Amino acid sequence: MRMILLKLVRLVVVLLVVSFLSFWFTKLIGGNNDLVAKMIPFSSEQEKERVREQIGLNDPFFTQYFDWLGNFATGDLGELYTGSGENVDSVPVSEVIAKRLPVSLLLMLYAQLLALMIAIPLGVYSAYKATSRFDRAANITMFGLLALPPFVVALVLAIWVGAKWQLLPTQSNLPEFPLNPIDNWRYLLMPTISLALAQIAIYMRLLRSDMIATLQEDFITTAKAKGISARRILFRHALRPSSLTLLTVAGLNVGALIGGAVVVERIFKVPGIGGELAESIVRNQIIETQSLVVLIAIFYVTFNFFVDILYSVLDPRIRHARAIA
Amino acid sequence: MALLASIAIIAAACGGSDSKSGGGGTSNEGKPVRGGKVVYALEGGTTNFCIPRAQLAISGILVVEAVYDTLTRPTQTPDVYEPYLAKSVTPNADYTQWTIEMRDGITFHDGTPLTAEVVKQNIDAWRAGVLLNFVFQNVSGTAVSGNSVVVTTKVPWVAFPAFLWSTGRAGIAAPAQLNGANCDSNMIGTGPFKVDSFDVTTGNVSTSKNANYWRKGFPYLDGIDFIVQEESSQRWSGLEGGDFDIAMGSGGQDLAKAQAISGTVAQLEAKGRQEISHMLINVERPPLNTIDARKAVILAIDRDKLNLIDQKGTARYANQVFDTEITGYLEDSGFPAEQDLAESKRLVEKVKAANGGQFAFTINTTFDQSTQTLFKEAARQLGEVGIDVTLAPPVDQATLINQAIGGSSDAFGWRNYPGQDPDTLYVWFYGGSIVNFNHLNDTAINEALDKGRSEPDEAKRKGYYEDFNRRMNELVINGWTWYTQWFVAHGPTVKGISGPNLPDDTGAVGSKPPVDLLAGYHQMLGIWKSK
Repeated sequence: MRMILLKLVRLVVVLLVVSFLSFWFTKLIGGNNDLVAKMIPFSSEQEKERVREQIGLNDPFFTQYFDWLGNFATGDLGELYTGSGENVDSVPVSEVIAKRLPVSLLLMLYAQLLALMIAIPLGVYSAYKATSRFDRAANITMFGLLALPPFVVALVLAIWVGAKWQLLPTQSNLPEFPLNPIDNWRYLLMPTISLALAQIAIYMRLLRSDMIATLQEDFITTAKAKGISARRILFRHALRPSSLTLLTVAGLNVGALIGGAVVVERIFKVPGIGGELAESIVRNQIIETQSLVVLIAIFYVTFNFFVDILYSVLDPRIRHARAIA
Repeated sequence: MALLASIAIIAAACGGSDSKSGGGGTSNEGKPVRGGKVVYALEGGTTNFCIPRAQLAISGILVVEAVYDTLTRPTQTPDVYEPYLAKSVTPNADYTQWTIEMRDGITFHDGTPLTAEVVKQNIDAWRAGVLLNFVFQNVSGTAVSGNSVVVTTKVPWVAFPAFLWSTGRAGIAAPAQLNGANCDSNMIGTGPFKVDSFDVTTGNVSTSKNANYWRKGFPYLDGIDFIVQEESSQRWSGLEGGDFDIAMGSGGQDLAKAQAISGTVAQLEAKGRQEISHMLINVERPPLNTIDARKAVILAIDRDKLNLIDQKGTARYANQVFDTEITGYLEDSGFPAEQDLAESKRLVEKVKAANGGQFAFTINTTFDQSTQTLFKEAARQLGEVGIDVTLAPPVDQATLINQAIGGSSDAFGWRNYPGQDPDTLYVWFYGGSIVNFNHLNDTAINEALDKGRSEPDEAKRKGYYEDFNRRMNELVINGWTWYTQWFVAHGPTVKGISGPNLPDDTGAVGSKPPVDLLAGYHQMLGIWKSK
């Protein structure tokens, strides 16, 4: 428990540093005046001044930061400014995120699930049949997949599966995107595959090497000597101790998935956070960009926090060592 | 105002696709079928539809075409505009006063009537609008007289009806939109389709049929969904896969891809009034603030090579701001079109001598891959004569426009000037205009534009615009490349892209055909989908 509390404190410190850096970096993009001029270039000077006042750009830097942080913590993520002229309109960023975050989370969940569902059996079997023809073929295929960036996979799928064979829609840009998997799988399958392919290769290769090492351990030899079936040895005895690296990388890869989602969501017009982040950048909506970056960072750090906690569940030796410490 | 520099005329038809150039009205496409919806893929999103201050590129203008009507519309003759929402638009003897007579019985989507007062309110809002105020700065006053609006101008304004269209931007909005705090998103017009939803974050607009539309019998469709897809390859994938019914496009590579889709019909914009692709130069910023520097750049360019790379060698070169059917077009414009490396190098040395041995500038472009390839080649060619060119990180269309307005960039990949009345160039090149992206302020050009604006005599008017054209090329304002081939691609079941003939006095379909396709703009009310 104490360990979890310590980790939580560290998590808060990391989040504060991330929020500060994100805030500071977006300030570096342009001075106070430029920031508003970029967001609403065709608004009147009075409106620009009103917006400057609204987002506190006339305050000292640290006042701005703490005001923004306080607002962020209470769910006020700023405004997406859409207007011009005398009456600049705006949409709360929290509304945009509330609509788009579930879609992105679903996409990432699907991509991770698909990657793990394929990589785990492949990795286990390749380790079991190390240096066999199957193992070599799987390794070569995985090398190939690793070399394929998600956007290339996305475009190839869109052209062949979507356009030529007309099996799946090439666009996910629906007025109301369904969150029910029964309704949305058709729209998210190609984006999911685009994101998952490279992950499959990474996970499979990692698991394979860890499994090969585990299968040399004495307890595996003992299990074999007891006459336990190969399947039971592989999945009950060898997989758990071999999956720590896989788990770490799966946690860290959430960042890669978010990065890939920025491009893949844009290609398939998936109404998610990645696409919105890209849009906010090209539209110079710096407040929105800032909020999205911090939100993604929070998600990433929190996710890895839980992965860290999971270590001790998966490996009692870690739990024991931590208890002694 | 659309941009970019990737264009072309490609004739590579294959896979059973079909191409039409102009004349695509409903008459030869069978009996229109009512009902159904179409999904229209746009190349960019629009965040603001408050007409007086909206920054509308082609994608936004197509939405405006569906939701709003303009007081006039262009015809197949470049200088002639017919009344549309207005019953008539009539000048006084010296063109200093225009009377816009309104049709009776037209209502907005919210049920409020279209009156002369409302039209006056719209024109006054344009005059005060951030982007349209320069366009209408020649208006000195507006007044309502019965069912008409009388517009008084500071100087005679011969081509005033062209500005009541303003390349499709001058849609008439309801008072509830203009007066409301959410003017940017609460679109209320008199157009054939009313807005059901507008997602400001994606730019998608969903519309449904305006059952009370004043042009009886129109529209045919139950609605149009406008979906933004910036990636051109995905627009064609979406069209091929059946996710889109119609998709807009320009440029040789796009056209070739669209034509490669089996059954797709690509309706091409006719030659003679096409936009011009070019390198737009900010003539205020060193080192491109001298004629020698700009000429050195132009003379270093091998257009044939660019044409081969970007247009498969099929581009129709442009040497001026006008296409062939536009008043002011010159057979010999004086533009230094032929590559002359020796002369270019001589001028480069001269410019370097005056700039501490440096001749370097930056070109800003959009994301499009073909544009990037094109400008990389242009930069390489310029490097061969000693000009150091940097390609700025690519941006989206709206940002590129903002950069051009801001004036802190040297040059841009650009496309503009659809073939209309030459007076419509006033806003782009007159000194002091907010959208004078070249930041040009030349006395001779201002004078020619002023004279052309007020001159009713066609021969004299032609002379003024020829003077303007010559002067533009004397000053080497822009690096012209070629005419832009716009097109609209759609599946075989979609018909009626050009729409019906323009309305007569009674509002019924008249005898005058509209312009089929002008820089990608076309009517929406005549589209129908066969079973």
